[in-house]
Amino acid sequence: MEYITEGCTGALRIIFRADREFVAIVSVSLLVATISTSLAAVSGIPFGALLAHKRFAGRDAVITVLNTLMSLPTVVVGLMVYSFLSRRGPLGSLGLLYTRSAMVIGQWILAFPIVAGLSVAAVKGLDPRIHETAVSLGADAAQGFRTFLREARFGILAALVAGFGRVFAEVGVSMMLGGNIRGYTRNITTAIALETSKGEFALGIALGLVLLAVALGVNVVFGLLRRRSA
Amino acid sequence: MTVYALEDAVAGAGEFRLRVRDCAIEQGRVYAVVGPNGSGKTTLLRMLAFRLRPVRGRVAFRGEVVDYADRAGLLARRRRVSALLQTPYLFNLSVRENIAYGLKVRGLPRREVASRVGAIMERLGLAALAARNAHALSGGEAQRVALARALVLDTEVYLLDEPTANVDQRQVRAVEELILEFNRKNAATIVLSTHSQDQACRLSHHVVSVVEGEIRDIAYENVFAGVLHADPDGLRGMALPGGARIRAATAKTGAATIAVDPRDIILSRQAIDSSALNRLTGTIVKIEDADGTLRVFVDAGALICAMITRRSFLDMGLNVGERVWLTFKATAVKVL
Repeated sequence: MEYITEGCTGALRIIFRADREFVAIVSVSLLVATISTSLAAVSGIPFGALLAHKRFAGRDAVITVLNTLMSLPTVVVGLMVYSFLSRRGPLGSLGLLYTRSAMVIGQWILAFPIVAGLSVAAVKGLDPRIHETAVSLGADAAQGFRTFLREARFGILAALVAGFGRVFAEVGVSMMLGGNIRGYTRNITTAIALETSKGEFALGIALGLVLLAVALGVNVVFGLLRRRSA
Repeated sequence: MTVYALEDAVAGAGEFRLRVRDCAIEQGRVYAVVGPNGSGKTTLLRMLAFRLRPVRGRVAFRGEVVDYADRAGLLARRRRVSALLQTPYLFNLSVRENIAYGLKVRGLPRREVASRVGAIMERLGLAALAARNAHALSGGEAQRVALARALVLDTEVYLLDEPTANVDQRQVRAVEELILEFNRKNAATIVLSTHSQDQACRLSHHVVSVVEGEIRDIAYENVFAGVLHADPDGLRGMALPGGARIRAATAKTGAATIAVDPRDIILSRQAIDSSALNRLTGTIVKIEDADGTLRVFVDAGALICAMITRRSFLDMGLNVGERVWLTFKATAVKVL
């Protein structure tokens, strides 16, 4: 039992002293997750909005697939992207494996269905008169679409927060595609896995606390946005 | 100057079709579209707003036939009119941002947007609500915000679908006055729909009646609002602002709106001795030509229009500035 209490006090020391390695690991997590969530935003929000807006054959099937992909196992994404990026894979020549870029690609694949799927829900729940109102006031097609997105902003922000929460806490993609390289691709989750296997609990617990704090923050923000969009 | 000319235009959503054989909307006039629910009032307004493409026939705006395939042209035309929808939606933004919306999409400079939005809010008593989220407003407040959002655009044409619906009684007058002010000051053409015949007469120069998808251009004219008093002979009389008095064969007393069909008014140089109880005199102020018949406007204290054929007009040798008599029966006075 003693090693747990020692681990906890050590963790607090690491956090309050802002230990260099600790800060570096947290930075990698924040950086990679932010970039991948941004990519998912740029691609997923318009995709989701169009999906909610336009009627075409197979639309419901696409939405079903999207919803299924929301719970895509991270190791499956890791495996898929790995097979493409590995030396023998079709994109092997790019030399992306075990880089932050590879982690971003994997996390983007994880976040995209969440951002897009929740955007569909956010836009679908909007008042059908928005478009007519915008156009009657002189908006062109692009302005009308932007107005539409702006009306859904709380729901869409909630989608982004959920996407960020997902990629920030995942371990499979980061481990398989990033390779847990110290000072480069080592992020919170891969570091915790490593530290635990080494029997070093202090750093692991400190990082775990960050993870919990972010998860808590994400849920609080998500809840607030949900309420405002309703 | 004709703003809209509709020819054999047929439009509608779903099963419903509105047929407009021939309809012209003239510059600077106020048109009230009346008719029962589902008769096609909103369809007409949507067609005038270039939101609904006619399935047949043509719509001309300012002499140019509207080409619905030309997106840029359509957008430019849409921006020359502003429309208030029947159940307007307010954006999930502040009152101020809602009202500024149409000006912003037109790309106006920020300063001008701010000053125009400020002025209209002041005018409609919305200044105190400027920062409030529009979704937190009461029904009447929301309707006024929607109206402000349409009126602030300062366009040539305003299409107002039931502008005073949900506005509480005390503010109906203020809204009506504002609409008339826009018509007078800016020579804006206004087409509004309403359920109230009374409001239609009060606000408009022309009443367009839509019944079962057809337009019937029965234009109520010579409309006067006032008080009907009982006369000793059993008839009613209404004093006009200019001193003249119109006698009506009706049982109604009190506040009322009356109309006299210009075709029922006889125009003469001398007073005619007849059984007609209404005999007014005044000078001709304006003559309008309408396909062979003339509309002669006489200032008899109030402006009264009489219709006369060109032939008899020429026979009588009348002209603007001349003194004439107007004669019509008490039974020709319609209480609206």
